[in-house]
Amino acid sequence: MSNGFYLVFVILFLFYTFSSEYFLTVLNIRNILSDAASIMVICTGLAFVIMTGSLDLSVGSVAFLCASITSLLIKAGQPVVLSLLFGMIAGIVVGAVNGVLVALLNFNPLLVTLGMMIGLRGVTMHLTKGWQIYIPTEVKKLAIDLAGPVQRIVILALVVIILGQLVLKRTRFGRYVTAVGCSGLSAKRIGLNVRAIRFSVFVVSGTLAALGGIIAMMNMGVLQPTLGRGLEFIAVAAIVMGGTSLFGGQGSMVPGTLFGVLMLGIIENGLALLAVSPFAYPLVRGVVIFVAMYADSLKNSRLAIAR
Amino acid sequence: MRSVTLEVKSVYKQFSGVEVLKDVNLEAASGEVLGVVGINGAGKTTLMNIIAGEVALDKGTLLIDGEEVTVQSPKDAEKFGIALIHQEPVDFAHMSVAENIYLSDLPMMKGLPFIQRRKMEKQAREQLQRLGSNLNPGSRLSELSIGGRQQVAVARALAQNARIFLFDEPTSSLSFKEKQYLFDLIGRLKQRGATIIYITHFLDEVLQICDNVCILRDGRVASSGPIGKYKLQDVIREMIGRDLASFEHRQPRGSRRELLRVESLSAGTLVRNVSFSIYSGEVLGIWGLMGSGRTELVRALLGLYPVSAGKLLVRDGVSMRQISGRQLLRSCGYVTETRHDDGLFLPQAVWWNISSAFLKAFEKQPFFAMDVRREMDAGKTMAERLQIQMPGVTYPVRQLSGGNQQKVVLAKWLLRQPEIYFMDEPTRGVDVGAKREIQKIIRDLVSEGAGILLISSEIEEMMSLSDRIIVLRGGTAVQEVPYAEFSKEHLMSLGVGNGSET
Amino acid sequence: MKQPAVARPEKRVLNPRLITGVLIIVSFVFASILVPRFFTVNNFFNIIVQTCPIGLMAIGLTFVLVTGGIDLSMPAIMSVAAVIGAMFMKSSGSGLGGSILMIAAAMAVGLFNGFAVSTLRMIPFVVTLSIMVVGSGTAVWLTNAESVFGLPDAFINTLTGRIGPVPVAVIILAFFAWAAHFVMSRTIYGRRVYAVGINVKAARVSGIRTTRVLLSVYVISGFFTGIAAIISTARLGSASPAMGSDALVLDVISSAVIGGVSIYGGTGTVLGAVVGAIFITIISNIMNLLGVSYYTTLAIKGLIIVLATGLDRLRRRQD
Repeated sequence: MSNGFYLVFVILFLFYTFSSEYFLTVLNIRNILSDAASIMVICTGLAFVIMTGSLDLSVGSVAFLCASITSLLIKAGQPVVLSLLFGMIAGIVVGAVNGVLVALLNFNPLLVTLGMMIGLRGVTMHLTKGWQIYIPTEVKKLAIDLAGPVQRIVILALVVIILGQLVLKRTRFGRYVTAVGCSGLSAKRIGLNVRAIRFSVFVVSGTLAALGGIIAMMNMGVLQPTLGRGLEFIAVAAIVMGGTSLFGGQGSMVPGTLFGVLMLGIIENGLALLAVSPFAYPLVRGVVIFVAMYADSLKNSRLAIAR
Repeated sequence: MRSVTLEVKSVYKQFSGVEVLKDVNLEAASGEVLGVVGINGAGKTTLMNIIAGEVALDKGTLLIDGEEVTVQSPKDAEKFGIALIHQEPVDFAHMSVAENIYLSDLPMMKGLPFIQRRKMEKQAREQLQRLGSNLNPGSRLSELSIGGRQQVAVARALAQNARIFLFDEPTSSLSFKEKQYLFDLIGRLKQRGATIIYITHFLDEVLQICDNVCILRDGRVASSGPIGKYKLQDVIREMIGRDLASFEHRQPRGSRRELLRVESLSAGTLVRNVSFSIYSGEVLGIWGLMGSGRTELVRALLGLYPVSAGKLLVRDGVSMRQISGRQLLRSCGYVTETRHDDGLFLPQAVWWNISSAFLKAFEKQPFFAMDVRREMDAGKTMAERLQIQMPGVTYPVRQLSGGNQQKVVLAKWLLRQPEIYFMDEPTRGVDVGAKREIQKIIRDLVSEGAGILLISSEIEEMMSLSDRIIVLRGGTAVQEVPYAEFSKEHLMSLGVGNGSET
Repeated sequence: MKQPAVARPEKRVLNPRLITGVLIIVSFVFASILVPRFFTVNNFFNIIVQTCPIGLMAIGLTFVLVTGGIDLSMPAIMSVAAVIGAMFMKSSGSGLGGSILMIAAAMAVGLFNGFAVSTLRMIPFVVTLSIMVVGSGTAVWLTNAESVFGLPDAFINTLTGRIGPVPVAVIILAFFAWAAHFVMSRTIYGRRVYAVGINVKAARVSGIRTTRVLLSVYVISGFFTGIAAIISTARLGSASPAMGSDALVLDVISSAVIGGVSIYGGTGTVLGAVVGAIFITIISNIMNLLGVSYYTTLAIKGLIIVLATGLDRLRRRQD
């Protein structure tokens, strides 16, 4: 993680602190964190895929799909745990399908996950008929009740990302993932099952996208039909900003992706506080993504990647 | 007592009709270093690849500890304790040294799925120290120099209980200090009873650290035995064989015009302050060992490699004017070293390839359209002139044999009718017949007034085609050798660097 | 004279050309069942008119794909260009001025994309992705999420009218399809584009200015995006940020890939991409006629692109 990044982070923080009296308040910080919770979880999963040098653009739509399934079931009176379970299973299944297509059949990951992104959104909209789905307040409170200074979902998200870091850096699986990202060829030579590793990261991504979507839904208390729209791009930006390279094999969850997510969250939160027109958000996002990617390509001058 | 661990008997290997190894026999024993030397193309690398399981042998046997074995994959080799340390080691750049060493065998905690990082680093440190290395097991591989990465590769091999180590040209990119480390490391391996095979073209190293030597020439073992038996000159002589009958005396052709002048060209560490000129009607050979900077020199000249200093001048009427590398690239012919990589458009038809460097000539107005009929005719004409064997000009180039593919590359440049050609290994990977034909083409071009810069690793080819030779060593032009002084020994000595200045 | 084909690969059971052909025939059959007067000239014209924007963008995308790149930003930039041009048209009353502005705006973005890819050496997917995000946001911002109405009648009528029996849009698509195909397959420039896509290193050695080629293809895709903006705006009678939806990106890419343009570069033709676009349009029509909801159509389009990727993979296998 470069010092430049931390510097910008601090500058930004200070800038917002001085520009708006609401920035450094407990309520605001809590908001930043709880909004960031779902993205944090999704980014953890997506980061695994990116680590292997691949890409998963379907995470936003998977989040939407699974959140919808869960909220529909809850609304229909099913027990919360069961609803959550089904939502997660949907995520695992989608992840597995992506994994089969990309890792086993060698389809182009960009196109496949792009197709999934749009296809799944369609399927989900069909399920929800485009309505907003409200969940009972008790259920919402499960998520956003305070556990100490922050909401439960924030704790959950932090746990997930820290676990992600542990898995990545301290388990065999995580090290194999990194190795495959560094050099698939070398990995094969030393006997790693490269296909299986490439497959499993998609399952991880799908699962965590599901969790992230559910978190976002519960944070709001309602399933919005726009949940997850454009999320994949924000997620990729956060991950790359946090030092994970799109070329694979490099990066971390903590501090990298964590700070990438926080940075983006702070940027957006600050914009809102400064009453910047909401229409400018995508502009800012786009610029941020571009700059992050440019820095990444400077670091790694190779040109080949999953297009 | 001497225990022979590895024996190679009567190994034969050919690639697409080209015989690379004809009848190779050698043996290596534990606690000894066997040096394997030979000029480029003598078969050293192929032999190592066969032992390490990267390539299959056609005929012959391998024996380990007296028992016959089949090594068909790197995994097999690993099983038998054979480890090949590549020149540029294959590894995981962004992972730590310890992980690189133990990735296939990570030490896990009991009960938990976590890696015992500290234990792994401790073990790594021990392995490395046994090799005389004080690398930090926690550092990232990408931070290390090539020497460091080599040490890690050796440590990894040791961690997998390798007993037979094959070093393939390990010192080409090492500094003096790193070389000493490497020799020290090899010494320690020796002490532990490892069997070491050391391939190199640096003959002084062979004399320094090897116990035995095996000299390959032309796919066979020309000579082998304990190093004490040999002096440097003996080794060189065995490597190149006897001089062939003297060449027909070459007359200088026509009036000599200076076509290109290179002044003080420098590019990184591989090209240092090189100056020379190319004249019309001559072949200027650039000779040097692997890693001496020949290909980089040409690429730097043509703007394909970043240049740090130097000037290029080209003939313009009566005087010389300055030109950029890119401009030179667009007006010369450049046969690259690796035609598959950047010399051909493999899926495309022969005619498509032939016209690809001279598209403007086939533009017909209006509308910048290409005159395909003319292109195909030109392609056919060229193919006939160069005697390219193919089903037809419309067939994809990848269906052609190596020799014919190389002729397509030549045809492409011939079309431009440039004055200056740069040819980097033009007969590499080409069968004998096509080789002769290509060599004739080169001579014909020159007699028509072209100036050709030729790079070739085959010393005989160099001597028979060139009018004069510039020897490169470590990126600098060491000496220019005029035709009258051509001799294999002289050239080899200059290339190797043992002060045989006349 | 048409360039002769390279020696054909051996036919295998899973020949991708065969599959594409079968798909097209099947879709025709389906469509003719559903639409009583499918095989009439009028209906064909209708289909082509509908295909126009996607077809135009697919043409532009072909140039980019052949060099081994990709442009995800096209529909988003289409809506930005459309909005900018429409706003100008509305206030100045000049349909021509607005149209030129649309093309110029789209090409300017294309120039930026091309610069980032060719000179800054960034990954095309990433560059065009950011531009897509910025573009759709800009369109929303410029219009406050509303549509721009009040466009000059002359503009709308000219572009939605007919010349004789043939709709203007058809003429435009046909003209550009033919022109682009000519450029790609018969001119020296097209030759250079393919060379860069097949082997960029060899292209460089051959003296082709690869940086310029890479830059130019994005400018070209910008150009076609601009034309698509013009046609779309005229057809809708308005310009809005919703014009460039995600689904459209999928449609455009699917068109090209189904039409034989490989995402890995080096192969494919403009005509193939246009045929692919027609196919996609017919599928959309079929969905419509079957009463399939918009969202299910999205799902099916997602599936189509996955299948198209499979086709592309098969094609590559055969190389």
